[in-house]
This record gives sequence, C-alpha cells and structure tokens, in this order.
Amino acid sequence: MREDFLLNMRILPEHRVNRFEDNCIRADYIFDYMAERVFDNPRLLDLLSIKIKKWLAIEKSEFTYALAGYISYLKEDFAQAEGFFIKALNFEPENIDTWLDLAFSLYHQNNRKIRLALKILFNFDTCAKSFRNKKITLGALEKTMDKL
Amino acid sequence: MDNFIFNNYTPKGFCREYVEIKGNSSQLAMFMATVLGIKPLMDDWINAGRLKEFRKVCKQYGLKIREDVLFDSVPKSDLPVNILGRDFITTTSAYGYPVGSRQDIGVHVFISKNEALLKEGMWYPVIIKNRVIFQPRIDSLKYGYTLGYPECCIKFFRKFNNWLKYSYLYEVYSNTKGRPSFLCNPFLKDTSFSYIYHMPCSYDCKATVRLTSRLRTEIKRREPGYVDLVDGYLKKSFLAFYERKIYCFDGSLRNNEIKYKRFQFTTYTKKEYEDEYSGYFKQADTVKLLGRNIILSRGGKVIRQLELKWSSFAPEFPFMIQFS
Ligand SMILES: [Zn+2]
Repeated sequence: MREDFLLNMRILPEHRVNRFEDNCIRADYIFDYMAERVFDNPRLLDLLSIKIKKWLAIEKSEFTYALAGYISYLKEDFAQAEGFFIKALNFEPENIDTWLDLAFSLYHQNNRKIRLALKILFNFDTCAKSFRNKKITLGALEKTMDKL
Repeated sequence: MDNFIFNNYTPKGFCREYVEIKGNSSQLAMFMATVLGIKPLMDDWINAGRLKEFRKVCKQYGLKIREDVLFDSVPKSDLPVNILGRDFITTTSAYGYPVGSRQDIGVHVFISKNEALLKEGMWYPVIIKNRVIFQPRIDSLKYGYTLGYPECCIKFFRKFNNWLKYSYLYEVYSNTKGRPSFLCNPFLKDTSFSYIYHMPCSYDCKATVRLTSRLRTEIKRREPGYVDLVDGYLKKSFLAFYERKIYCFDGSLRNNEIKYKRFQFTTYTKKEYEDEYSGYFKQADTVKLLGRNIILSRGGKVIRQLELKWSSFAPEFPFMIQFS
C-alpha cells in the first residue's frame, strides 16, 4: 500500500503522531502536500478515491483512516471526512493533527457541527487528553464539549 | 504631506449603515458587491460590541451572516517567541477567542446573500493555547473561488504568489498586453476606494473588467458620488516596488515620469522603515524611473538620484503605471 502511494503521489507516506507535549505545529505533511497536487491536477482525486478503498481493505490503521479523511476532505465530502477522522482518532486519540482535521471537517458543515468545530478548535488540548480511554463518537464529543 | 487616500466615505443612502457601524468605510465596495449579489461571499471584522446592530443591517440588506471567531490583533514583533507557528506569520497575527467571550475586540464574520455559502467560509490563522491554528492548505487554495475571484486571476496567483521569487505586481504588469484599466487597479484595495479585493492576472484582465464594470454600474445607480470618487482615485499614478512599497501620486504619468502635486505611501503599515522614499519625494515635484534609478527633480532641476538596491527579502522590480 505504501509503495503504491509513493508511486501515485511521489512522496513517502510517513505518519507520525503529533502529541500536545511534542510542541510541534504539525507532524503530518501529507495533507497539505496532497492539497497542492490535487489543486493543480484535480483528476488525481479520482485516482486517489479508487486507491483509498483498496488501501483501506488491506490496512485499517490510524494512517489509512487519516489518509481516507484527507481524500474525502479534498473531495469536499466533509461528512465522510469527519467519519474517517473519528476512526483515526479512535486509534490514536492524542493526535492533535487529527483533532484539528476533524474540527475543519465539521467547520464546513451545518450550524450544529460548526459549533462543535469551534469548541474543538478552542479546546484541542483537552480533546487530546479527555478521550485517551474513551470511544470517540460525535455524540460523546458533543457531550464532553458542552461541559466546557 | 496630507492624507488623501485613506479617507473614509459615508454613503448618502445605500449601505450607509455599514459605514456607521464599522466606523470606517474600508471594504465598502465589497459590502455593496455582496448586497448586490455580485460577490458571493465576503469576510469582515466587526466590533463585537456592535454585532447586534450589524446583524440588523445585514437583515435589512437581505444578507446572511456567520459569526466566526473573535480576533485580538497583535503585531508579530509583540508575540512571545515561544508561540508555535510564529515563524509562519507575516506581519500581524491575532489571539482567537470564542464569540461572546469579549466585547472589546473585532469578530470575524462571513456574509453572503446565500446561506448555503456561509459554510464555505475559511478559518484565518489565530493563536489558541500558545499555538497558531492554521486552516488546511486546500481551504486557502480554493478560497478565491468562494470569494468570486476570476479563474484566470486565481491560476495566475497560484503560479506567481511567491514573495521570495517574484514581485507579484511586476509579474502582473509584465502580463498586461493592453492599456491598464482602472477597473483592474488593485493598488488601493486596502483603502475605501477600490472595486476589487483580489490581485488581477493583468492590469487589463477581461474577467476582472467584466466583474468590476458590472459592480460599478450598479453602485453608480445608487451612490453616484462614491463612484466618482473611486474612479478618480483609481486613475491616479503609481510607482510600485513590490506589494508593500507602493506610492500613489496626484499627477500624471508620461514617459516614465510623474509630475505631482501630492503623493502618499499606500501601504497601511506601522513599519515606517518600509516607506523609504517619502522623505525624498517631499523635496521634489517630479519623479522619473530609469531602470533601477529614481531621478528626482524640482522646478526642472535634478536634485537627487537614487539607485535601487537588491533586497534580500522580496525582490523589487519598480515600475510606474497610470490606469485609465
Ligand atoms: Zn484575470
């Protein structure tokens, strides 16, 4: 799967968890890189949409779900991106990058989700700590965020 | 030198309330364009204490509004060095707060006639919990489309928007084949006197002319005095070095020479040192550009010659232009 990604995107698919204490603005570089490529060559998105289904069938990991989230986001399917980012977070709830990616997927949806997006953006550190041992769902998130 | 380009304009009727609430008329033409349905969506910053009145004005003009985040602006030089992402900020940044938590600062809002478009609004980087939260790259790449910019201009911007490599304004100048049209003049976009808020791909970009002439016609019907003023400002002469160093002259350009009565540095900045030439221009009445040499004269006599150095930051390619 990784070789296939390298072949199609011409970049090594490295994935690192960005924890709050790492003091790193963003560990993932793939999302922005893909954005540049897709903006200049929108047809690449068709290929990536086909590929991600195959990659997910081979490997279900934080990385493949995050990647699926990026592709959905680039397709402007924000609801689908939201679903994938939540799946990625359930593998690695401390990843600040994914919390922000989830927030931005919500930021482009309906008012209820926009409200939740803003809550996450203002409390991304609390999010990364609060869900260490809890299942993340949209409902659970709303409940936790309402208390803040 | 007296100020002549940073004046405010208060409309007689159309969109007057907008200027009253904001306390200034910057972005007035963009607000009018949004009211007229010519601009699909716009961003604005409104004093949080006046948000309630602003909502009313939007309703009155048939606009929908989305309140985003409170911005407490700070110059980059005042930011603590340990803020994550500080290096990626250009000149100013802001601490972000949830709407409703403060009344004394500006709130970032999206405005559109079409409610569905509000979700396409873009997050602007703000500092939260000691780090700058940036929007996804794709959002900034696509935002020009959401704001209604012409595709040719978006593509050109994508290619040449690199401060280290290009002087964007000069690239636009090089891409201009015909006579520069005042409808494509971006030099006053941060003042109250501009029909555009985007960087055109050329100073005679047909798509931009189509967009702005429609806007100008519609505004002229409602607020003719404003159009007369904007036209007048946009038709002045300019000497541009790069995006942050532009001078506007009240005078006309002939053979790369501007004879002027007044002039003004157009960049709204606190960094006075970027305004290198005002001191010299004050002493002269004519400025001539010969390659990278600026020749100043007064009463027909050359009083000073300045050679433009290559800067280590943004490359400067000076040129003179007058729009008609
Ligand atoms: Zn254009």
